Amino acid sequence: MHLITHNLLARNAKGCTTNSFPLAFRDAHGQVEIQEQDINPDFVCNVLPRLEWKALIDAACQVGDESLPAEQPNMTDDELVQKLHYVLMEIHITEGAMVCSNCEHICPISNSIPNSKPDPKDSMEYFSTLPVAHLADMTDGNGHVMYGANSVAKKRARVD
Amino acid sequence: MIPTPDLSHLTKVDYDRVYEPAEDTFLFLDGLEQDAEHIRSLHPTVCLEIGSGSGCVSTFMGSILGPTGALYLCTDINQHAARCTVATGRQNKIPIDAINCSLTSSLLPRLRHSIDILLFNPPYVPTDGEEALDAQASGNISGAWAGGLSGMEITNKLLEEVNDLLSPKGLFYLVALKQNDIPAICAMMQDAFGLKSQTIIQRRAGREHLFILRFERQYVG
Ligand SMILES: C[S@@+](CC[C@H](N)C(=O)[O-])C[C@H]1O[C@@H](n2cnc3c(N)ncnc32)[C@H](O)[C@@H]1O
Ligand SMILES: [Zn+2]
Repeated sequence: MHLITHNLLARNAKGCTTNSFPLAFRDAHGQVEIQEQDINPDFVCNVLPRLEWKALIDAACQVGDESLPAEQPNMTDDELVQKLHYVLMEIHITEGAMVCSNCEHICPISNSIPNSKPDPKDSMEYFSTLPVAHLADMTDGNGHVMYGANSVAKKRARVD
Repeated sequence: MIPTPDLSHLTKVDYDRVYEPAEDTFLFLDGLEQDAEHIRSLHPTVCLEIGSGSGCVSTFMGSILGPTGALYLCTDINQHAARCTVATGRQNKIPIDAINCSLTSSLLPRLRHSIDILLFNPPYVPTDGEEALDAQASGNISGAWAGGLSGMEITNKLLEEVNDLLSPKGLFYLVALKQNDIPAICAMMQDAFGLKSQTIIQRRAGREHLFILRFERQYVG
């Protein structure tokens, strides 16, 4: 996960929809990787208005980078764009966790992927109007009859 | 011709757990390729794909816009799919961030009216509601197709969020099946959100009649 993505993630779950940004890193030290990437200054400038500066600075500090100024400068010069590119697009969090400061829910990160899946029970409620009692016979999905799509023989190629 | 992403790093074991690109995926690629010039002309900054599976579609979007052209975000309810998505991006040198979550939940608060390209090839197969629910709760491969009533139970949840997600110039591409009742989908999006729609490509594949729909805001004048 790039730090730019951290800046766009909030907890948004049943019972926690406000004050759930930013998520604080937990145990992110030592699980940070730098992956070089070409810079696209236009992209950096275009994405800047969508970011929360303070959350970005805090996140960068938490993973040991202090290259960005604490206050967002009015001008984005080349040097700032360079630094932003590095922080946003080259710092990766590969393992660790993030904690919601509102509900203290922990969102683990493994193989660079944050897991913010809903509780299965909340997922059932969200997608269903069925009574919650139905949960009693929830299974892990093994042994289900498959309908439709997969019984159709599929051509697994695209003609280039 | 924009080449189909290299998927040679994915194995049979991956496809036991993650949706293998099939006719729907390839029709999606063909539709996006057909729209490539239009997509580029909008200079998108943020692309989001829901249910990215193997990562084939977002990687393809990455070759339309270039590896550094935009931010490529993906979500999938299936953790193995999220992992394959990142791997496919890497294999094709497109940096993709994947999040293991349902629909757009954890991104919606911060990306309100910020998505320039939104993509969804949903679980569209009509199944009984319970099968769709179990698939959603467990995040396993049956979540790739089990769409519940009319195949629309998952898609409908996303349709409610599209208007909140799209930027003023944003485009939303959706894969749908004839049985999903495409006229009803389009009418709902128009009436509820003022989003106009168009079928950009369609194809019969075995028993499935597949459509790629494009939605966008309507500007008067
Ligand atoms: C038909 S497959 C498409 C996969 C890939 N995009 C493609 O075109 O080949 C549907 C995908 O949506 C995912 N999915 C199902 N329900 C979801 C949900 N609520 N949120 C996110 N992803 C979901 C499935 O795990 C699966 O990867
Ligand atoms: Zn919370």
